[in-house]
Amino acid sequence: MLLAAAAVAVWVGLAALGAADAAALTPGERTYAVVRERVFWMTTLQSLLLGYATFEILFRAADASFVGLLPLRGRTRFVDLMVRAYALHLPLLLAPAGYAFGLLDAGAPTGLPAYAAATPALTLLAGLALAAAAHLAAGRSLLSESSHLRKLLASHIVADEHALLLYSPAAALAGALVLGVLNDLFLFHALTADRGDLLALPFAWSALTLVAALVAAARIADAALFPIMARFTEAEAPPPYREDGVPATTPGAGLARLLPPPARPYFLRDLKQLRRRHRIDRVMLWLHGLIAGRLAFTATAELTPAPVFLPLLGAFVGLFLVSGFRLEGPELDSPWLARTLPSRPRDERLGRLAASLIHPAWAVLTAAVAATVAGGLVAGVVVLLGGALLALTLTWGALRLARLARADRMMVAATAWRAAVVSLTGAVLWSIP
Amino acid sequence: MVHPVKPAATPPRLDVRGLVKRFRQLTAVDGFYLTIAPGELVGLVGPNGAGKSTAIKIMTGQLLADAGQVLIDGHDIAAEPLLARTRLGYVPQELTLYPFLTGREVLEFVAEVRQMPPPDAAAAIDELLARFRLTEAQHRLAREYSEGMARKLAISAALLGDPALLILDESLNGLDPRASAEVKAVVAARLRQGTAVLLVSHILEHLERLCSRVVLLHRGRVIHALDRADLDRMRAAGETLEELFLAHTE
Repeated sequence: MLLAAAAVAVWVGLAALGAADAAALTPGERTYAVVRERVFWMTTLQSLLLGYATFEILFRAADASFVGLLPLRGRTRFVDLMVRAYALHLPLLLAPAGYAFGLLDAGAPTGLPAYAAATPALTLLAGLALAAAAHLAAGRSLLSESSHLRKLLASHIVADEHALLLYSPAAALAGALVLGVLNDLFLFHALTADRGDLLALPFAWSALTLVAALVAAARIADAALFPIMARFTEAEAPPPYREDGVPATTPGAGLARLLPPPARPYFLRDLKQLRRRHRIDRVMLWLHGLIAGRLAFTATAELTPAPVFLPLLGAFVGLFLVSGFRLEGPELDSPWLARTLPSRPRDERLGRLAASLIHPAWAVLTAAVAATVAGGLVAGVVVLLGGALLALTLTWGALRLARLARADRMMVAATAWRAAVVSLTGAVLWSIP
Repeated sequence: MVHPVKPAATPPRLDVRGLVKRFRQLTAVDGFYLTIAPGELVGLVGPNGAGKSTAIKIMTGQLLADAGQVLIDGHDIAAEPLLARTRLGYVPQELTLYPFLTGREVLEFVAEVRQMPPPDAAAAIDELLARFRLTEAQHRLAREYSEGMARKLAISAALLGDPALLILDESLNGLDPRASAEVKAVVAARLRQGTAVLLVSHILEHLERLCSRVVLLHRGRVIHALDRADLDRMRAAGETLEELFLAHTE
């Protein structure tokens, strides 16, 4: 239901966007800059996803420890995992398909929707195979002795022999992006600029990449998939949290005093776990601050701050700073304690909401300050109030959705949520003149 | 190890009355009765699929029964879940602790939810950590604990707040002999203080040796209940619980 709703939302949103873009085309226009930009971002976003998601599927499949004991050939298991990877990623093509449909329906020249649909599709199909080959090649390095290069790459972040695994999602992303850019270039000219002679090229190299990568990956899998998995399990063993131990104090813990006493233990539990598990959130906060700061000093006079800062804030909070799926899912929860301790649901929800709001609150403040710089005090207050409402809605909404989702489907719920946030933010941003 | 005294006048710590639970066509629990008095250690045993897990989930408030009632220290787990859970300590077979809290923080969280006064909570936590030899590891994250350490931490969490009833579901599994002896000693001490214990285990020797009563569950109902005298008689006659189990659960 959730996935279907998200798919419909994505389709409708992108189809509307396609129709709007088609309606705005100047008669006789041949550059189609707006459409190219949309297609580029759709291709990039799916490449971002597939680089890491394929890694997760190959190395962290939930049934890995069970299947590892079965007398299976590595190649058979690889086929099984790749079918899952394609099944998981193919729905991503709903977005470009919806956009292409919108263009077509609104009467854009037929080459344009074909280009909008084919570029992400070809890139996804070949990019997935490329990502699998990159991950398995990196995984194979676990079986050999460390080298000087790997020592350099590891940089004390991970053990030397795991260095290539650290970079394989980025390598997969880079490969998919290069493929995407080439596909974009040739398909655009072939389908919209009367260069039909170029049409075969992107299909040819995408097919070649697909086949070559799948064959290479299958060979590695056949030779060494299960030993790779065994070594990967070693690499996954949780290391000590920090060399100097867990810090005695947690920033923000003092805010517990503002809550009713029964809600405090839940607030502290969630605050500590989030802070320790998701240290990258603080980096995202800094990043948000930097982008907001840059916008504050470059915003033009005719652009009022609220339509700029609020979508940015919504995207950051909705994509990176929502904690509901982390706290309600198996990642940080203890179901038996949650179900058997004498807890009042109201207290637990309040404590959890408060802990989940800490980082979004910082983002709201940053956005409000940036809006004040850009547009004055009134703009700052508008962004502060609007941002607070937006952050509260997104945080509460994610918590509510996560509570409804099954624990073993939390990742699907989180993906659906993020797809909806991306679509909504995109639709809002693109609707700004 | 344990020779509890059953005070007849005190109300039971656990009173399960005619529990029934159906999952569509399957009747998992079919008229299950069980009473545990203060200071009594009762073993619950049954073949896989006998309905033990379902019964435990109902007793701990994780499932609702289709019929019947569970009273924990006089409080109905379905009607008064907060009061009943305040009197209950439970350690499940499959443990998941809050992975990014330290062992001590997990216990502090449980003590706070159980609304223990902070000085009492700190003293109880220190005592349990020392008893289970977890003092040194108390500031390490729970995700870094071994299976045995995690189980000892979970038992400590269940013992906080002096529950009237302690349900241990396969809780001696995964423990080395020393840890197992530590758990048994702590449980024996709690029994002497009047806590009732329900021990679910497939290790029949444990049940034979430790329990004051053993209940055999099959197809959702109790088909045999042996008290300490029965168990001693069986042992004297050279019979084992395993033979009884095999004979009655075909």
